[in-house]
Amino acid sequence: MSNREFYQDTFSQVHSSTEIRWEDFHSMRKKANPGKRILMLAAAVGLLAALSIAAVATGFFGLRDVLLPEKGNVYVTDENGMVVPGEYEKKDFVSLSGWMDTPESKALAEWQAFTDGYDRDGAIISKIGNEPTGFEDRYGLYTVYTQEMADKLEEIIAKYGLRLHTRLEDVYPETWKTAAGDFFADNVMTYSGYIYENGTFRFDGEAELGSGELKGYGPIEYQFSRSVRGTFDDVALNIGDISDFREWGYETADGTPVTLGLGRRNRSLIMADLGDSFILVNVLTGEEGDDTFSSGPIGQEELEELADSFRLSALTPVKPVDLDAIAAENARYMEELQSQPIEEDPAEQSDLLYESTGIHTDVARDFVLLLAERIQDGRKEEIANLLVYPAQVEVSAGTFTVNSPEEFLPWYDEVIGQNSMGLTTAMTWEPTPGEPRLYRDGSGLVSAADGAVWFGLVEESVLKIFAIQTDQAAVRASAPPPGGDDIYDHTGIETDVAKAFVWDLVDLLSNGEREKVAELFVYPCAVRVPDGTFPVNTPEELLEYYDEAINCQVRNLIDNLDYHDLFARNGLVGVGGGVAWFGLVEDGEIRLFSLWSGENLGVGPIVSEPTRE
Amino acid sequence: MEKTLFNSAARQYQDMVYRIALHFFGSPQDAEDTVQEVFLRLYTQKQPFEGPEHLRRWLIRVTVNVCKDALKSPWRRRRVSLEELPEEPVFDRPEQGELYREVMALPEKYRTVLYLFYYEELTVREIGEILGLGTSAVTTRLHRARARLKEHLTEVWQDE
Repeated sequence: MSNREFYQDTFSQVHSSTEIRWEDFHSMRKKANPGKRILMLAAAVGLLAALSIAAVATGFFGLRDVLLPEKGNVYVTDENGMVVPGEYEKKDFVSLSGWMDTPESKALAEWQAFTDGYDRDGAIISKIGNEPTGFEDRYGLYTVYTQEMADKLEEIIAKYGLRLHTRLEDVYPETWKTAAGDFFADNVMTYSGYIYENGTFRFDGEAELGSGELKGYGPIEYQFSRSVRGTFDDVALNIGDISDFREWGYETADGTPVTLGLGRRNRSLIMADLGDSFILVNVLTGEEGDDTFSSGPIGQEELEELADSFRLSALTPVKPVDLDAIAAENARYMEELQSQPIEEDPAEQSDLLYESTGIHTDVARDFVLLLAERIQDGRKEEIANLLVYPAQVEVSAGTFTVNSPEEFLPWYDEVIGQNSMGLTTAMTWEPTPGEPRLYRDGSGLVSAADGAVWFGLVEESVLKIFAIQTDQAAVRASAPPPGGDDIYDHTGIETDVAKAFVWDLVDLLSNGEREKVAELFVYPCAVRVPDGTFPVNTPEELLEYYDEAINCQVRNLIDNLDYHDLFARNGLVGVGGGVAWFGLVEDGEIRLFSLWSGENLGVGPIVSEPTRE
Repeated sequence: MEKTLFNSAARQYQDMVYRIALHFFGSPQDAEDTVQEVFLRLYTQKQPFEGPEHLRRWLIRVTVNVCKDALKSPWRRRRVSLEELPEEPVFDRPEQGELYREVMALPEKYRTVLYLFYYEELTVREIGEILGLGTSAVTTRLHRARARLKEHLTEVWQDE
């Protein structure tokens, strides 16, 4: 037995005991965003409905012209977004096959009416289970599992002169041009989907809109459907409440007339009758937006821009489909994909926040989001434990010093609790939900919520909060003011002590006391030398770079370390305009957070993985 | 991610994610936490996967990144030493238990490389790309880890 086989035999017996279920994540996600869950759409009245009716009355084809005559059943969900077993509610459905006066949509309406009332309690399908039904050959692409259903379907397609789908092939993202032609602009991304033998196809995708309110807010997602005439298709789309849509006619950039429906909530539609096929694009956002599928709300301008992103005229006339060629193209695509190296995450290649604070951007974001969650949940002790002490509490009654989580807790409500809603909103929603904007100021700390929260590394792998400040109150890493000492107010280090520290530092640098200088730093930290930036974990490791990082320009450094030029920011003392930053650490000692000898050389917060062996 | 595909991915790759995290942390509890975190990210993943191999490699990369990030998080300070491990899996043969203990006794940087090489059968270059290391660093770690295993598992670990 080879070592590899031995290893695999051994560790194949090691198993996770966690139960991973989609439903649990679904529930959790819904619960985390109670305000954003998809509710039953309220009935729309007034001007919007009137506009829709007026439009139809003047010959404009709109949503009501694809509306199935009977509402469909959809599952009822509880307040956490979980399906309530056995409970249904009625929703408006539209046909993907074309206007309701076409044979395809009439057939769909009849089939929907039949299936809605068939096997309602699921008794028949439960009895069949996963066993073959014998109907797979002819009806494998439809939901048919009894002779009665097969007979009904045959009756319907005979009545309307339609065929049944006979074959379906997956289409991978790079294969769409082979499958259906070049019908999308460069800003459109296509995901995998499927295509039938007659050219009917569906896929999901996303598009980057270059102008309008969405600029900079990320992609917009959509689901694209083309239904080719002459074949029965049993897919209908749940649109909630039809009166929630504002509709208008529009001509796309390639001259195709389309109907646009802007939803008041989180769905919108683009429809086009191309003669031999019908296009319906389900846009996964609307005037309210959707925190799951899109980056923000859209308006008329964005919906029109998305419509312009498709060259719908390229989809007609419908060309014969070569499913074998598509399958071959898929296979080639997969081979190429598997032979490609895994791409580096660009975010990891250049993370400016990490280089200046030692904290990865995504770690900082996660920290902010977790912090916001704990504030929102009122987990006071956990927040108190994350603060750096001693800290200065500024409340309406005055300014007080707290030296421990226990001493801070009585002030929690005034400093954080009463502002929790505003704080958590600013921490989690600005500028984009789940991706709070982060700031850095050279002190080694990270800021979120527009400066309301400051945090940073205090030792390896330990993040602490240096300040939480709002218009009403604040807590900042600091100590009681001993009579107008601004440095002391903000850092807990008396000005004279800070001056003495700088004096001693200059003395050590001047005398070449490299070991003692190295001992002063917070570890891990990073050295920046002419050929790169390297992390160091101990004074001994730092000494290997001492000459390149510090000693090379020590005279320049010493000249800049003027102990008269002290200032405080975010719990740290800066000197010489930021040549050095130092502050109190947990053991009460003063430590250097950074020291720059010039020309971007020196020692600062930790950086990325070493690149020098 | 769509429910059927998600549950299929969980069945197929949950143990892989767990084993990578176990090699990284040496702690079953942290490994289980990582499983939760990784599959939460999979649940929220919007981009489709082109196939099982794409999904597998995405999961490996995300698992390693989640493990790295966890070390920096103040919420995850529960790393335990080998002596404190609550329990050891039951193995078919005694030498498998020996291998498990020896691997878990290695420093983290050797464990993860070992697992990705021997179990997931990734190349040195692929491992380097995932861990952000040069191929020479991966080779060195593999060499040292093998030497250590050979030294301690004289009877059952082959010369390579």
